[in-house]
Amino acid sequence: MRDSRWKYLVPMVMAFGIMSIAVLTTAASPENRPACDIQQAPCVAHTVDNTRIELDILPRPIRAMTDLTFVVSLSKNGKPIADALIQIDLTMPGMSMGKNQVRLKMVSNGRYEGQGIITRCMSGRKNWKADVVANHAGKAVEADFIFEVK
Amino acid sequence: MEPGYLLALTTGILGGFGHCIGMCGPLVASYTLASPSAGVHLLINRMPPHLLYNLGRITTYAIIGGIMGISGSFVNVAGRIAGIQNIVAIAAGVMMIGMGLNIAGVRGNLEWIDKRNITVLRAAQKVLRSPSPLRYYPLGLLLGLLPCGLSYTVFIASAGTGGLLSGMLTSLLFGIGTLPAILLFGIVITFLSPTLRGRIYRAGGVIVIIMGVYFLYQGMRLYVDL
Repeated sequence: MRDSRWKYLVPMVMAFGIMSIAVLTTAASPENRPACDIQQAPCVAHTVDNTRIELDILPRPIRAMTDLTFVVSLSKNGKPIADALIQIDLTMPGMSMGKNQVRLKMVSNGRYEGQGIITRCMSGRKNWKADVVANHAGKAVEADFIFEVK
Repeated sequence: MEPGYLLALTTGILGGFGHCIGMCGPLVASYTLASPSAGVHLLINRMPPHLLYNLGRITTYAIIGGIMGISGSFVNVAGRIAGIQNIVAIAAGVMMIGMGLNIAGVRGNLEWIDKRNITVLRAAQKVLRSPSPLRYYPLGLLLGLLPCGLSYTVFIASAGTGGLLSGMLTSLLFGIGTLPAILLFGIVITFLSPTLRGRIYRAGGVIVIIMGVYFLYQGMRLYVDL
């Protein structure tokens, strides 16, 4: 009875150690690498219906734990899209960081701005994902942007 | 219940299992493994340390949430307490290394700590050596200050409430939400600890030391921006 208990306990403890280290030291996997360098310039994505979503985060360098301005420029076929409802969900790939959402307001035709904060993770990871969701004329378009903060 | 409070509670429950066990689990494992031995049948007697630790941790969250709420600015408050948080991360690393060495059975070789007047190390020694179970409450109060991305997100929400009580309640509910995961983790480790003190006791100590070094490194990295 005692021996069979050990048979399970040893792998459990080893698994705990390995999992803890893995969780805390996970480097950015290939899919988590920045698709574009938003530290240098705005990032752009095109949806299947040809909507252009441009995301910029200011001021640069983009640092965690500071007030940031999120700027989204929305257009379709070269024409700006006005009066859209835009929100950005900020998440860290592979790590639960709670719901961190930024709501944007239109500041000019097709240009939207909102204030938000990117938090710091003690694991040392700096890769974040901004999921931009724009609702306009009863339709929602969405684009993900992966980037790193300083 | 208002949506914001419900969200904070849900964030705590989900984040507790998805985030806190990974980040704070090693700390819980450290103080559990380093505490005096007791059988599984004495589990009820081993609950007070876990409850007191979590009570302390949640108290700190509520206080920070209240301050965030009354100031209305996450960045200003977070900036002011960042230095303290980094020192706490370093102290946590030192404590874990001390506990890990103790578990691994090399405590006798640590007399050099006693001979040096290093405040953080001496404070860690005091916590490690205190016989009172009440020590877990101040331990929780202190470690509640550890820099944590998940709690930061909730503190942002607390700051957004713009009030002392609402900010406090938001963070309090988040803390309560994290309770099941951390408490359950502590109980599992408590169940394992008498057995761990046997053949794989030293291996557990080595794991705690590794995690302590990691906390220490992260604390120093945050402090000096390595």
